Amino acid sequence: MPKDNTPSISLIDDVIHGRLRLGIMAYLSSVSPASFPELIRKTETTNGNLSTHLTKLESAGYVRQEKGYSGKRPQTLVHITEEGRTAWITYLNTMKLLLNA
Amino acid sequence: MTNDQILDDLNFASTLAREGASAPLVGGKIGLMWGCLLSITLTLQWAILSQTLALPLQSLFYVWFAFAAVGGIGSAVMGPRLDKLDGAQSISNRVEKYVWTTFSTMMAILFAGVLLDVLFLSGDIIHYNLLVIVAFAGQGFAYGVVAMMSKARWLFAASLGSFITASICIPVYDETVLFLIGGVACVFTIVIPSLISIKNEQHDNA
Repeated sequence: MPKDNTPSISLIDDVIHGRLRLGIMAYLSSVSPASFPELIRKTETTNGNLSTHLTKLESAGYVRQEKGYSGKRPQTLVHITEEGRTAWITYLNTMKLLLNA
Repeated sequence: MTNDQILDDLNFASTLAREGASAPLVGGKIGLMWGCLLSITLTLQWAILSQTLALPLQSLFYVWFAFAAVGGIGSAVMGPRLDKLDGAQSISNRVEKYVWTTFSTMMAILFAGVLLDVLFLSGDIIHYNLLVIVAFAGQGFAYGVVAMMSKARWLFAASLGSFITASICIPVYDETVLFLIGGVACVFTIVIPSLISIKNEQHDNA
């Protein structure tokens, strides 16, 4: 039986592979940290939606949310973690393999 | 999920990644402030030393004190505001911030060294003039690094202009005209590049 060299779709990282989470990771890969409002503007989503997806990424260890203050105003900065950067690069490589298959 | 959906999502991600990677430099306003301050201060130093402006030499202390105070307060006020702009933490902007912080640290330490030399080791006050040459050379280096990282080609002109100014200053390092040359050069190597940077930032964010 011939061996199937096609990369399996199961290799895709489910945590990253969602339109909004993909966008967040893409932006954070070049701008980190990014503030919460900055991510809302860039991804054109709502507070609640962004918050939900950031929590999912944070649970996987891909991003870190830093709550603090800018002057007297509360501010949340979102950092991509080393683990997140590695997962992002792996995700891109997997997609490249799948799309080229 | 269909192939079209996947490609659409990847396009979305790619657009965001590109936006982040090509975020405009945000330090133009701080550069403009320091450029104007430095140009005025160096020109005043020339005017006082040459007695074009009939003020006692001691007034130079107040001139430089005002330069440091206004610049320090201006940076403290503007810095946090600039940090809030979209793309302020992009790689180019972080490099720009780190490179100028390192440059400022270098100048402060060299200034302290010259000051201690003059105060405690009977050093020659003319050594202070060497700081002008070092500053322009360091500035050229800083612009060069930021130009490479941000791909802002026009910054190479500012870098080259700074190096040329440093070399022009060498033969006149012990003359009063050094400060006039420095003051005028600041307009071309700091003020104008900062204005271009501000214009590009506004254009990219429009």
